[in-house]
Amino acid sequence: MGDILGKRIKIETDESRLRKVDRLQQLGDPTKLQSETGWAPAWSAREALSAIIDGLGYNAAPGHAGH
Amino acid sequence: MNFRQKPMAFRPAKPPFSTVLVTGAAGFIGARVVRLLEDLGCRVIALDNGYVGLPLPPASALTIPVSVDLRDRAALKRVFAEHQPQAVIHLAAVHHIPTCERDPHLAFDVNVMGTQSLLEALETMPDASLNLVFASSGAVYAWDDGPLNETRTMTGANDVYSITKLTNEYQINGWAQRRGARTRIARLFNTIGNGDPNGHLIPDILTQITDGGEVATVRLGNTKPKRDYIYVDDVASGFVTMLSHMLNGPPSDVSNLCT
Repeated sequence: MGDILGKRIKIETDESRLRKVDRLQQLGDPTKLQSETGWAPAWSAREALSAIIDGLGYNAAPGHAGH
Repeated sequence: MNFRQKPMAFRPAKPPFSTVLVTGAAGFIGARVVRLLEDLGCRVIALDNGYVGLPLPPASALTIPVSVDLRDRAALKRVFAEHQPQAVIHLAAVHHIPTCERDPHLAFDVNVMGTQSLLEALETMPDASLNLVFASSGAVYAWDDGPLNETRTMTGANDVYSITKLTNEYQINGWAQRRGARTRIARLFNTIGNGDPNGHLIPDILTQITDGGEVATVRLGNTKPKRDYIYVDDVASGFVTMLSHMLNGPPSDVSNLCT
């Protein structure tokens, strides 16, 4: 997101934001629906974030093409 | 000027049903599902109780907005009797995790008993109309290292939300077997997009970045967990695709809706 906005960022851990229980990974296997129906996601995570950033009224860095 | 080519979500074939009832139709995902169905030429009964504070989709030549609470069993049966839907996409649920943990009675009431009301209303329809696409969750899987797979990964819910969703899967599968219905369960992963009434993390990070100085400090919780994010337009297209393919394959099936 820092890259999309053209800003350098540093990440710190905020203890108050830690959840009691947090799964280490929750990644799905999309193969079944794709092979049975031809459906596939069209939006990359970066494109999705760019659209959300736009929608919230923030400006992407000049020259950023959303890809 | 900053031109951005937006991706076009997969366009499903027209579902083989002329009238489709959508629950949670005012929601972040539901409103897009309604628009897509309408665009494909389906008549849509757009049902919602206004819980998240978003407006019902507007009435049009093809869309009929209906303000009804899922838990109102009599009202729900009247909606089915009046509009005779041939299929249902069931999206309505309390899915905000902190709300589910804080108010489990509400979560069970809406997600489990609301689904029960829906099944009871649905089964007043002719057999050929017993077609249901249901929004379950990737959270019903047991914790596992590899990509979570419909046949290889065990289920194992452990928080209120995922317990209601796994309960729904048992409810729906049992009902479908007893009634000879057709069902498609979508295990949906983390949906993101514009207009999410529960979307707090991305706006929060944006504020931290834009309020920060030359190098902005972003304070987060645990940054190790990996999640599967899917854009809301892809989600809407996925649900409608499942409906379009409803009459192919086994009577009941479950698929991940993820990236």
